[in-house]
Amino acid sequence: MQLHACRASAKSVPPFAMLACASATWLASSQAHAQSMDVVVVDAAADASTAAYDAATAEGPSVVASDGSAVDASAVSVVDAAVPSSAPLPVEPLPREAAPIPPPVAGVPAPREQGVRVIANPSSAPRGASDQTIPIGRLLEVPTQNAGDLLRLAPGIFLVNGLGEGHAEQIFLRGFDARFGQDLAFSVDGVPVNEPGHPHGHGYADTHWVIPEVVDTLRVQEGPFDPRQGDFAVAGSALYSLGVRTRGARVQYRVGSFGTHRLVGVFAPEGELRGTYVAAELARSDGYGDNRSFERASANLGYERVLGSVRVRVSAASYLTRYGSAGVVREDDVRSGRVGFFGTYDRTQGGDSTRHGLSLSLDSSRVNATLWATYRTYALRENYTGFLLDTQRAGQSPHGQRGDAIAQSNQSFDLGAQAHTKLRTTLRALPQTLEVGVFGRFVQGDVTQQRLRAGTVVPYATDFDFVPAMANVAMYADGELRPWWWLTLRGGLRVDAFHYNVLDRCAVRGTYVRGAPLDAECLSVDRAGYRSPTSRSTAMGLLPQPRAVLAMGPFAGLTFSLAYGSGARSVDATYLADGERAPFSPIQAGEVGATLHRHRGAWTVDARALGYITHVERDLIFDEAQGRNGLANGTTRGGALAALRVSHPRLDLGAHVTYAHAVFDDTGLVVPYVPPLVARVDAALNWPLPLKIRDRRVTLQAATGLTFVSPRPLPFSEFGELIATADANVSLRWTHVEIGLFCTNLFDAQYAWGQFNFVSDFMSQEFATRVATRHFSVAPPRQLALTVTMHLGADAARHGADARHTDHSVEAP
Amino acid sequence: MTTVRHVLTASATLSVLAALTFAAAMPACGNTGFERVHFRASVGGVAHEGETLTFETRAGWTVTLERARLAIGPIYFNTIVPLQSHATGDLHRGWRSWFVPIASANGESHIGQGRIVGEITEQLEVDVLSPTLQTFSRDGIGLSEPVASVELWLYNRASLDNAVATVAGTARRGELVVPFVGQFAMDPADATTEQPLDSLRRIRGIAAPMTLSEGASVTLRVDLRPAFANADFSELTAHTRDREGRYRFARGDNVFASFQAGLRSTQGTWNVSFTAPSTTTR
Repeated sequence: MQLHACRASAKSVPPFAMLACASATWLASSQAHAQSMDVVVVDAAADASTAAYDAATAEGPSVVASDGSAVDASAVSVVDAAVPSSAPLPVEPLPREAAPIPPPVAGVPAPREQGVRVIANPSSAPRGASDQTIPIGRLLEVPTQNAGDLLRLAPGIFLVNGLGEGHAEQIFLRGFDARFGQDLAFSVDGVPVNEPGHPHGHGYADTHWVIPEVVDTLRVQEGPFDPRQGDFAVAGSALYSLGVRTRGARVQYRVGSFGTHRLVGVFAPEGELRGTYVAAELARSDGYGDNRSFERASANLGYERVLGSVRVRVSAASYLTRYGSAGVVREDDVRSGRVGFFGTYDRTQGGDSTRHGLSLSLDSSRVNATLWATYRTYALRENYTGFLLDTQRAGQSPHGQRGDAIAQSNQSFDLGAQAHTKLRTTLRALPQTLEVGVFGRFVQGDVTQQRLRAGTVVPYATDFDFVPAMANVAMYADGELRPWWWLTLRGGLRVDAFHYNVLDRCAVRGTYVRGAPLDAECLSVDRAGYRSPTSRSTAMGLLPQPRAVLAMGPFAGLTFSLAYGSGARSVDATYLADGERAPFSPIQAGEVGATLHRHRGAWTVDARALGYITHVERDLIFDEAQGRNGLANGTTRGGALAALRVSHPRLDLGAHVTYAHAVFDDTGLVVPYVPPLVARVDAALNWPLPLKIRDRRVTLQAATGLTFVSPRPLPFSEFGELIATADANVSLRWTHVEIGLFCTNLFDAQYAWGQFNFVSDFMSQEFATRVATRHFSVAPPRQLALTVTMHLGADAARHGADARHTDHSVEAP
Repeated sequence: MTTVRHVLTASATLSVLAALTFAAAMPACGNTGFERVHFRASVGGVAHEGETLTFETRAGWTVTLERARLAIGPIYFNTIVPLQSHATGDLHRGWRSWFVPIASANGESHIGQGRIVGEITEQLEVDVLSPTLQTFSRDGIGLSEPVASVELWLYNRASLDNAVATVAGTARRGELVVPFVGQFAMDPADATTEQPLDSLRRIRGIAAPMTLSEGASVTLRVDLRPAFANADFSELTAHTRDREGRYRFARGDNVFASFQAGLRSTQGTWNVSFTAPSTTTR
């Protein structure tokens, strides 16, 4: 019990901090479960209530001892100090912090109990009912292939990956086909991941470089309701926070179907903060079916230290991968046996990708700043249409169809910084805050797309060859006004400025000029005579985006909210013309919903239900000829979702269902490819068995993930197939050793990940096919794997020492 | 107990809210526009009496076709409206051309490529002297989207001596009797920088206003009479006869040129009709 620590600290803190402590004291003495809670402690320099609120509702504080070393996070809980003591006090502890401190075990050092302080949390307060911070916790046990898979824990998100293991997942979210990130803003520890001007799609976001074992929390903000959300936050944002709570070391080896091997090691030195870790991953597989092998190596490092009143965090990551891709197959060819279900038309499809990044975060109670530098390379070969597009044009020697295979490549440097500060005051003893932030990012790429001769990697034509430089400067003001304890208005204005400077190294292409040599591209002549083969385009645009959320509550844990937001997606450099104002894709979004947070004993319940509507002025829809999304007309989408998370040290359950309906504004037709209904259930169980070996209990860990996706509307009034899959993972752990069985697609369902209706001609039939037909990319069949895990460190040593404490060495959810 | 009651109350509130929002959202269904349809397609010659087809040409020849076999297919249905060009010769445009210039692009009488919304990816060898319809063994596939024109793609057929079309007959003018035989074949070597093989292969712009629908029937009638309209068969008599005693027309002959132009003509030779499913007997 650390109540006395709070009282001692309170002598030196401002009046509002005193109120926080007073409320907490009242709470601790009045709640029956107070024995499992300790009181929030705040830095004297910080505003107690805001810090407490931030901590309670968002990511949670970093807790450090006065000497800067780490303190067991479970020793600290937080309360909403903004509520006056006369009102019923809502208890809003973070679920993961609900677990009591394990008592000392002989021979194992106990966590220290001492004066602690909270460094102000960099996360903003929740925006609307769909803003959800998801502690990964035990749900990491649900079969997960990569960090991207963790997104499935968020309501309404459905992921597919038909282009290979090293390729970013395609994301469906709330009526959006966000492709590979165009509509969902990704960040990892504050560093943006989406790549503007990427050849495979503006906003391509690949998170495979993140080792899932080091993902601490995932915050998914569905909708653009937070002024902190920047470019690509059309459908929302996904914010990964990395860290390792279970200190010690862990080495896991997995061997499974199709020659799959994965070795991962995580070392989190004891006594250090959760942001200090070293993790590495090596993986390879022959892949299911044809041409799906991959190799991957990734290293993630973090170092976190508190220097005086500033938390310093350095993160670095390096990632390499090479992968094959089977691409798409035609349904009629599969039915007739011309190509196998797991087959491919072109074995040259696939790609490789690397990422190397470094970031620095500085957090104090008043200012948070992040700086980053990233270098990326990317290459992909894909063929959606076979032999359809290469018709002989003027200026070309006679030729037949040489193949539509696309080779995309990109190298990019990404430099940026963001910072914000909070101004705090009180009104009628309630905290009022104003956050002011700035954001700057510069990305320079080297982007090409070429066509390859069928079955080779020899290019025969250049589609584009750009050097795009994009700068994004943004600033925002985000206020939080609380006229009464039950009413909060959050919001403000964000203004984004985008500047483009694009060097087109192949400005004259696709048009024949009389007198020019045959089969030449990137000509240095046009109708007026000689010209340089290059041209440069510049453009700039400004976009103000107001955003606001009105929250009422909590009433017995129930909070109602109403949200409005305006956002935008920057324009793809490919579409820019000289001197134009950058044509953004503005969006308007609204949401109404309610959330319920309750904590009782070791149980925590988080539930939410909401309805939403979003209008996009210029949408992007998949274009098979380009192998990426192309501009389309305006769209409107609406729907509803419900989600539930129930957590207990022994059981963690998450479930959600989302309905979405998206239509084009001009025709009223349904937007294709977006699944109307997505449901997901994740459950993880941690259970001590009545079996002891050498006085240490054996524990059972079991987890499952169930996915249901309704048939997707496809072009020409067709629907795809219903998807229903189950993944499972079972393991037994005895002290340091854990052995498990890992299974994805448990019932071996044969289904399609990507489903499309478009025109192709793979020369698989007697004559050319020119009518749109069904294509699909195939999802993996059942895959089994055996995992062996070695846990090292003090937590591991305590595991199973006493049934009552068994679960403490496994992080509480 | 109070907490439990709060949780139950809140859960009930959330459930009601969720039910209401889902109920509000669920009726909104719809489609993505147009539908995939299957249709039957048949090909035959024009109606006439007897096994041979006899007709008078503009040049004064009486031609009797005794054999005429064509490789028909694949066939594609395009959204693009056929435009008249000088090449196809709309003789009735007259004074209108002064006000509305004839549009043409790349010599194909078309602006743009249009979009294919129906196809029959099969080839039939058809006796076009017989009005009896031959039906493609597989249904055509299309979309319920308005079609404006039909494209025929010409492929050689092994059973036709690697040609697209073979004909044989007799032409008479006065006392001159010219038994003839000939064929038209696609030769990839004909492709040039200006005339790609794809372009040579296609007969584009055969008028066919229709909207394909499930179970519908499309009929293509082939009339070879226009293919000999401008032929001067007397030129063939300079050639030596073959084993059957016929003069063979070949590239460079005006008969070949006339025959090729007739085959490629979008008017007269090819006639497409559409029968909606309600009146189709299947």
